[in-house]
Amino acid sequence: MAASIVSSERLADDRPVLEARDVVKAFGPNRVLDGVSMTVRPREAVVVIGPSGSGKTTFLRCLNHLESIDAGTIHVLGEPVGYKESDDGKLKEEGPRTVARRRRRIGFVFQRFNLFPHLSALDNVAVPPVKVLGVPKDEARERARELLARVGLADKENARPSALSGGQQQRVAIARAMAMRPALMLFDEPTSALDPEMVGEVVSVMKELAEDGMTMVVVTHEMAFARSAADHLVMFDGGKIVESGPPEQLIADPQHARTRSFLSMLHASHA
Amino acid sequence: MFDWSFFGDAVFHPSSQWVTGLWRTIYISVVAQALGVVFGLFIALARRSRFRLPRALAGGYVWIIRGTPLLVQLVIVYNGLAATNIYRFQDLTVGSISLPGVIQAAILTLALNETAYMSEIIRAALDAVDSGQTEAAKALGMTPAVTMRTVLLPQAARTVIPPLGNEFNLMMKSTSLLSVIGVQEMFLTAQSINSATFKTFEIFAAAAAYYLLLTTVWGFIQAAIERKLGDPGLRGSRPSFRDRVFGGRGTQPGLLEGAR
Repeated sequence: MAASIVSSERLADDRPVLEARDVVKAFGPNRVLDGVSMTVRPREAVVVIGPSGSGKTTFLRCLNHLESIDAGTIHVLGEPVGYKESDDGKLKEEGPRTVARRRRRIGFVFQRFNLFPHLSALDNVAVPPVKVLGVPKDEARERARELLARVGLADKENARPSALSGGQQQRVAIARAMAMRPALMLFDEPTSALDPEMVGEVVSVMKELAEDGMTMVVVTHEMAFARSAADHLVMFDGGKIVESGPPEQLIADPQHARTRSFLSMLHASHA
Repeated sequence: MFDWSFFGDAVFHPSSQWVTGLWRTIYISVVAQALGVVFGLFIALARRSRFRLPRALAGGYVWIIRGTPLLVQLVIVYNGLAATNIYRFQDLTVGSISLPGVIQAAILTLALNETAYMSEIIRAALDAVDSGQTEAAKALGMTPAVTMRTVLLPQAARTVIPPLGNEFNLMMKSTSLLSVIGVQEMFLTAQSINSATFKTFEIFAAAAAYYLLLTTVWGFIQAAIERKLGDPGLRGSRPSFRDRVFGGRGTQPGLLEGAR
């Protein structure tokens, strides 16, 4: 196997990569997140499941401040994301440049890929580190080639996203996020916009990342991935975490009625 | 009777005065349009600002400029400012090039007018970029400025080109209004020939022929630019020059093929 593509510099100690405490998010009167807490340690992979509308995607988006939060705290590598605490203890939203700096260490993979259509696959991966981190162009391109090769797309570097299949686009998107050498990767239903025959190629890339020790939070209903790659499985319902634990235990012996019915529904739809 | 030989002479053996007028029409249009695009970009950015003041100022600017006739704006900027002793455009000489005051006023007014229209075109093009693009840029840690430069503007540019071509076509024809403040461009030249010869139909038909020539040449250039900037996947769907001038095919199968 090729050398690990996960940067290990930040994994030296065991302090949490992600620490979310009592996160509350409301859209109008609707409390989408009602006090969610989660701690993710280095090299851990957490899979989040739950019915649609349970708040799992919103939670993920709050983690890199694509959504604001109304209460609670989110720290990544010990630094607050999106907010600073003012003197009176209230949360104060930080300016866009500071937020941008905080996000550099957090990779995000979208359900709908969101590749840059005017750039080739290679430039999608190589341009962000140049523009954001000031990596020299040649170095960025070389690493982009390595990453594309790792996701099995070495021969597609000159293709525009419109010329790639959904599965290929999502693999480029993963490579793009990895090019920033993130300490934490967030996946928002990365396979749910894909045709069934393309799910496997994306899941296997994510699995490799998890095996390489990438710290990640994955919202997905791919239970095969959860079973084989996740350290924790977390069940969301009604804006709360109703249950969490090691995947085999939670799948075999769910304690909560909502988890039981959700898992059996998933099982039925995949049978 | 229409004097064909006078018309033919005017078109094929233009006087040096006529050629000068044509040249003025061209360079005034090009400079004013270029400035309009640059200023228009800034107004468009101001209208998307997260602060209220630049938004309001830019909105007010567009409201006033688009709500008043270019002809009135020309007279205010050149004659109005001078009459009230606020500002009088002076002839300017830089090296061997001299730019008469009236042409400065002409270029400035056309540019300020065009700015309002270009800003709306650019704003619409930026709004048309999928919101997932901004989210992806944010998630990669790009600041708003970097997002604008590397993600939004390159994608918006493609959308801007067709209406920009339209604007430049209008601009070349709008220069004929400059005759009212006394810029010796093509239209005023035709007028002075008219008052000396009374060949009204013939000389203005010759002027029309020249405007048509300008806009036709520009049509070729625009088509070439659009082909070059187009998404390679959509290249087949770009209208050819013939389609552009003489009406397109009834259906454009290429557009559907290229759709995602």
